[in-house]
Amino acid sequence: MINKISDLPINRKLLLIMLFSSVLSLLFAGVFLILLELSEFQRTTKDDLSALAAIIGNRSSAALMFDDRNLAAENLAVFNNIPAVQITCLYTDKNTVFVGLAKNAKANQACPVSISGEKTRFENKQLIVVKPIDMDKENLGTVYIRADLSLAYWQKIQFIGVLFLVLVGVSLMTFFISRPLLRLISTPLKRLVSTVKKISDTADYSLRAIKLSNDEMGVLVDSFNSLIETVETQSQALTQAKNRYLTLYDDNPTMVFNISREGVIFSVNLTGAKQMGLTVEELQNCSIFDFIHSDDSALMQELIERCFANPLQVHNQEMRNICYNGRVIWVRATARLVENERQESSLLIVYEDITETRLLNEQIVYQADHDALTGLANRNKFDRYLKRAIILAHQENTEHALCYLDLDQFKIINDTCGHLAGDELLKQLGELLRKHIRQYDFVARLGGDEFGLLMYNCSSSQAFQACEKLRDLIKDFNFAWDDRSFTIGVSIGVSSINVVSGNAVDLLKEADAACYAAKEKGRNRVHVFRPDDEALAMRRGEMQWVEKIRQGLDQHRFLLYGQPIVPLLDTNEGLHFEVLLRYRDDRGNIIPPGAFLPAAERYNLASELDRWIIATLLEWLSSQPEFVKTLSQCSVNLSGLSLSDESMLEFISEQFKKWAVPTNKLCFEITETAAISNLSYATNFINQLKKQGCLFSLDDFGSGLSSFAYLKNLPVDYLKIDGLFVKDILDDEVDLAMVKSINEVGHVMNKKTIAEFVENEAIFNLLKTLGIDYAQGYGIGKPVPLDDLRPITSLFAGIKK
Amino acid sequence: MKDIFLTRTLICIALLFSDCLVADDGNLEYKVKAGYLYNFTKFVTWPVLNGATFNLCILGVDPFGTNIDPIEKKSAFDRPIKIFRLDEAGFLSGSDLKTDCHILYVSAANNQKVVFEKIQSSAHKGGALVVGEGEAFVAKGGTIGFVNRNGKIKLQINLQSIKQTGLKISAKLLEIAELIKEDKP
Repeated sequence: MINKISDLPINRKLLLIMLFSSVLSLLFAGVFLILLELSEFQRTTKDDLSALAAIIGNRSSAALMFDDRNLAAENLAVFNNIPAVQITCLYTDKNTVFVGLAKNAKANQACPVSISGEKTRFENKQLIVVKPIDMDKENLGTVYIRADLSLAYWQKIQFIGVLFLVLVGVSLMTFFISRPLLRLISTPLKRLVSTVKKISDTADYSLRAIKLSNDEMGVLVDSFNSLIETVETQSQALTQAKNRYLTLYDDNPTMVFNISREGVIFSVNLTGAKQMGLTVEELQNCSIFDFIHSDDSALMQELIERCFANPLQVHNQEMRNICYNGRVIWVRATARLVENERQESSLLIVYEDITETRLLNEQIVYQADHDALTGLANRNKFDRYLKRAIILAHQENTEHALCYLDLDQFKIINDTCGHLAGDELLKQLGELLRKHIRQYDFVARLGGDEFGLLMYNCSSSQAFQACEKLRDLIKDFNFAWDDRSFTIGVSIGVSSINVVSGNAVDLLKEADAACYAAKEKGRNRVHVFRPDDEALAMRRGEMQWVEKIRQGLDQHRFLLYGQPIVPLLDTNEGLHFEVLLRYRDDRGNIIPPGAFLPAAERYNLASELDRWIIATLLEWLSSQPEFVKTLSQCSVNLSGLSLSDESMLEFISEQFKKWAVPTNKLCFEITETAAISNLSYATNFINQLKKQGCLFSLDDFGSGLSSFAYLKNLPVDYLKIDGLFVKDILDDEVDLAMVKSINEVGHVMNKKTIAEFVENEAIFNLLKTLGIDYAQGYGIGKPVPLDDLRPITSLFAGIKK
Repeated sequence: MKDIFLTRTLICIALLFSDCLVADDGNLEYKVKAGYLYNFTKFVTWPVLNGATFNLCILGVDPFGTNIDPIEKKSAFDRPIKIFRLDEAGFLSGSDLKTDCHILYVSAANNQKVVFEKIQSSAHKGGALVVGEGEAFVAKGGTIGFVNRNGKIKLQINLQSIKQTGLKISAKLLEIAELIKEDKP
């Protein structure tokens, strides 16, 4: 019931409340009125009649006592004036009627025979009054009155009815009058509700409720409007923000996916859908794996697993993606785990199209390794493969062949038919070679008209036969250009890659030499390089040294010696020496470096030895502060390999910091050959160390390629003239002239000169007259352990220092 | 209980049987009269009430006999009622006048004229209610007289006499009685 009412419109509810209260109050008032009126009526009637009965009784006392019925009857006749009274009786005792009066003579209107037990009471519509007449405590008799109140009751009811009707009328009037008042409450509410409904139906937050009054409803409307305004503002801001983010999402140049762990696509941005060639809706619920290159599926799977295993990190993976139209694009997938509002994990994956970069990269990588003209590998790649083959031979004791091919008549074709013809020939020959080698062999264009060929697991003789076939093939190959036909020959040098093979440079030199030999023999032939026995023996010795050097470094078998260098002019510069390396063998013999340095150079151990020397020397110097004070210069040899070792500079700097030795007392000696073969490295190396105060000297100057032109580019401080010139300077005029000119050029270039191999006083004196700055050699002082180094006080017994 | 019984008896006698019994039964008539005598105490107020008893004097011939005796068991004005029977000769000579009579009943057998004279000359004049019987009683100077009307005993009252005696009489009693003026002698 209450529920039904609570669903009614407010207007009805208000009406109902009014009706309910009116009806209830009317009802209560009516009932109360009836009860009150009746009881009041009964009470007054009873009181009146009782009082009247008492008076009559009193008046009739004498009549009773003196038996005067007439008088009594007269007294009783008073009641005739009261219409309700029907019978009045006077009893002497309960059973004896003294006098009785009745309005009409019906049977039931006579005085009852006995009134014993009767009391004043209401019976049905009748009132019975019994009033005893007492005098001086004696009961004289009783007055009995019976009144019929039905008429009176009816009148009362009529009266109440009229009253009730009036009340109902007033209520109705009030009700109708108050209806417009109700509308004052319900109408604004209705309108507010309709506005609210409209807003919620249309989501149009620009609508406003109309204010009709300034009461609480008005306040409500105002508050509602301001609330809706806030909502409108926020909604607009939200919409704008949403659109902004949507634009950011959809127009993002990358493809954005949200996928499940199984790869099901929950959502994708527009860019992603466009790239894939489908619509966003079509992509939803597809698996991302459907679009991944089958070779890369595992990568994707692994990326997903990584994300789940390490949810806080962002993970990357490059892979191929196949679009709907079959186009393959390379993408860099960046993924991380995200949680949605339901705490479910999904993957946010961003695809960045890196196809171009990737292709470019591939192209660059390809171009770096390939010859643009023939499409064959270039020298760069060939070198790498060669090195790998050497390692393979060393590690697995296998034999491979390195072939060096040089076309014989190429220059003629180039000169007579032009470069285009030459290029075409190279192209066709490249194709020919590629077709006729074994599948796992490797061919490259090394430059110009030179090709290189690596034949794996192939002995020299097998290689020779294969190369003979190639030579025949090329000989039979007819190159046609402009109605002209050419035949060409090829000279092939073969070098074997085996367990005793040196480095790649040496092997190429060997093959080159063999090829040269083939050309020497009359072109269009194959020549196999054969090292003589002596060379082979030397190689074997070197091989043994490799192990000794490694162990020697571990077992502290290396020692540092020093050989003094003295100025030829009479100046006192303090101690100047060159640090030299010695090896102590099992029997305690001291071995000079000539025995092991070639092996070290050949098998890439020189740089490691250099490091040991530098570290040991600096440590020793730092432990001899007194010695350092007397020291003017100390020179250390650096191998050519150290110059190109990129970490060497860093190592030396670290050592300087570690031992805190004055760097200006250190001089590095590099050989002319080493410096020139890596000129740019060497220049950089020298400059870097010179910045730290070190000096440099160019060792063995005059023996190698010896070009004064290079000297201009090398910022060295000293020139060490090769001892071979110095040794015979007294007898050989050429050597004298060489030393003389080197010294002069050196001085012009502001470099000091040091002569090696100074073995006796005569040489010493000659050098002095030539103006050489320093001298070093057995005649001056033999190499001694560092601890035994002393300043030279006298030379050749006569010459005082 | 006894009182109620008595009263009922009295009233029964006075009211019910009077009609049928008065004519042929003198006892009943006097029983009623005796009751009425008692009833007078309810409607009449004496100016002075001396003594411990309410005295009812019956002068000369006593017509009541034993019929009046039960009245002695009642009381009036909180005094027990006592019956005195006065000798006429003694009364007239004044020897019996020592007693204060509140009600003096003079029966028809007495020489009422002499009695009235005596009463008027005596000191009793102001204090006694003189009750008698017969049509002439009140006219001669009695205060209240019993008369027979159609077999019923009715009262006659002499207002003049009442004024003289100083008694006060209730209007209710007057209502049921015939008011008689005294004959002028």
